[in-house]
Amino acid sequence: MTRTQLIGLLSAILLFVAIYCVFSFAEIEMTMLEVQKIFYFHISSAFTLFLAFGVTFISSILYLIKRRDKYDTIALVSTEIGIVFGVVVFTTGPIWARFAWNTWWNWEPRLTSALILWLTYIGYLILRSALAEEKKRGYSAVLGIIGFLNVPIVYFSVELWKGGLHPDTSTKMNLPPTMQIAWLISWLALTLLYLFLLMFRYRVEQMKLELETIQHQQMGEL
Amino acid sequence: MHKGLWITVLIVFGLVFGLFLFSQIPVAITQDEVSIAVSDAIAETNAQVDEMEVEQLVTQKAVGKLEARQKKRLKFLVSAYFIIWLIFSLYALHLAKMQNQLRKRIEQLHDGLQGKE
Amino acid sequence: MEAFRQIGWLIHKDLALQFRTKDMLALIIVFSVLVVLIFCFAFGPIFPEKLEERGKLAASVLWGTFLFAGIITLNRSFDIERMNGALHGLRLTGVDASYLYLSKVVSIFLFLILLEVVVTPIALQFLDILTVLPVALQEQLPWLLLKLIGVIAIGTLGFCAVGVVVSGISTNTDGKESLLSVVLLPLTFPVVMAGAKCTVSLLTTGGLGGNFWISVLIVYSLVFLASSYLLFEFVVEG
Repeated sequence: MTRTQLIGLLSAILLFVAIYCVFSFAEIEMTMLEVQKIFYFHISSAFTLFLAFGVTFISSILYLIKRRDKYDTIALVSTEIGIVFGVVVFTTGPIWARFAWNTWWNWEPRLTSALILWLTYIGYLILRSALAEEKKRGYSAVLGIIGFLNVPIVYFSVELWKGGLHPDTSTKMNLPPTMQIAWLISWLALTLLYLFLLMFRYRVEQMKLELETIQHQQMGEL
Repeated sequence: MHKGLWITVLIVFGLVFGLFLFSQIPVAITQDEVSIAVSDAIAETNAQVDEMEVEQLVTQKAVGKLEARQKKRLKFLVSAYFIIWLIFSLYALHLAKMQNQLRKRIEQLHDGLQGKE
Repeated sequence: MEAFRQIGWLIHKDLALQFRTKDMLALIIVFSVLVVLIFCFAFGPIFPEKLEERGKLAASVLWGTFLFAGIITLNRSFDIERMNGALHGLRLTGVDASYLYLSKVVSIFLFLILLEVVVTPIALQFLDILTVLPVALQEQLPWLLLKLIGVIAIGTLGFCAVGVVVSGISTNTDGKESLLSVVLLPLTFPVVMAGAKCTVSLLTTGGLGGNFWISVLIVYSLVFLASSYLLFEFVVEG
């Protein structure tokens, strides 16, 4: 069994455990009742989204320093997976908001800054696909760095924009222990899932490169 | 990874998930909730007739209302988790498909190269 | 000193290119006025009576227009550089990449400021903001305009700091320069947000309403100037 498969298996098992914890172990929250159970996977996906783009940021820096293709591939792959997690966040978020506040979108600072980050990295992927082969690595590394630098500023300004002069940071709920455990496990499960997807996607990207080199070889022979 | 394995994992995931959703969440209606709903309903109707009978009818109605409300909540919950599950599985399937295609192509090309030699 | 001389020459070159054919500036100004007109047609002819609402309207019109104009200017400026490999030629003369970056930012900044100085009074007049301004503010109108231009200038600096890097990248795509906006717009959200807020509070109270938004503008400009200054080398070299 390869390492990727092992991590895949682990994340699958943990996902089951997480589902179990969320649905039968964690107590039911009093104001939102069952709908509150969206929270576990919604917030964990959002965390993973920031993690994924953070990995893009760091590996972009590493690429510019060391100039190894490996880092560029990791950056690309991590961005793509981050966008997938973003889709989860931005579909479950509105479902939650619709129930809790009777609206499909709420300008919550964290959600908004995640959205802007998400859009930035979609732009990154689009631009990357339009760049020429020999140039795209360095350029997309620059974009990956700039995009992530924007995060704290966006977050700060959205919070100011939303809440006036006194940003309210005490909105974090004081979760009862069972909920905390369920949340931690689902967070861990999604992080492992991210890791698994990362390794899997990395392997696919490598196969693509391999295919390209073989094709080049054949062209050379012809 | 093998495609069949993938699909099995996903189906098992869906099954387990469904099992939890529809068996492990009992109807979370407590006695308090019922009594609150009943008193609300009584206040709404303003009726003064045979209290026992009225209360029974109203209780039925109130429980029905609560159940309808819970159904609505479950609809939200189910759709959210369904979407999460769908997105991840679609992405994983997409990756698996891509990998299979690439592998086939590479094998073909390798065979072609060896055939020439 | 040598550095300043080189940067000075580069700026001189850029500005000379921008202004050699007057049509570029004229085109951008006409374009901006047209955008303002479209906004006015959409919201007018009777604008909101309340000062605060009209201030918000003016801020959105101004910043929306400047964003569009900025994107066009950036695209155009790098088009000239890429044509016939002019940027490559410049690099061969041994000019440092960071000088190139600074000169590009300064020249585009100057160009946009010129545009904004012309367009801002026109837009404010079209929106008829004078009639709702309180008397105290009307008396010191030039001072108010100066402050407004100052705020806009800081925002434009932040915009140019990122814009130069991103458009340096996006000109390398063949015929897909419009991709610039897809990447640049999400990156400039804080500038638009903070700039618009500052503009609203200037137009309604004459002050900045606390230091928060102006500091967001300044921090953004500084962060992106510094990071882009470091990263531009990789953009030029590819």
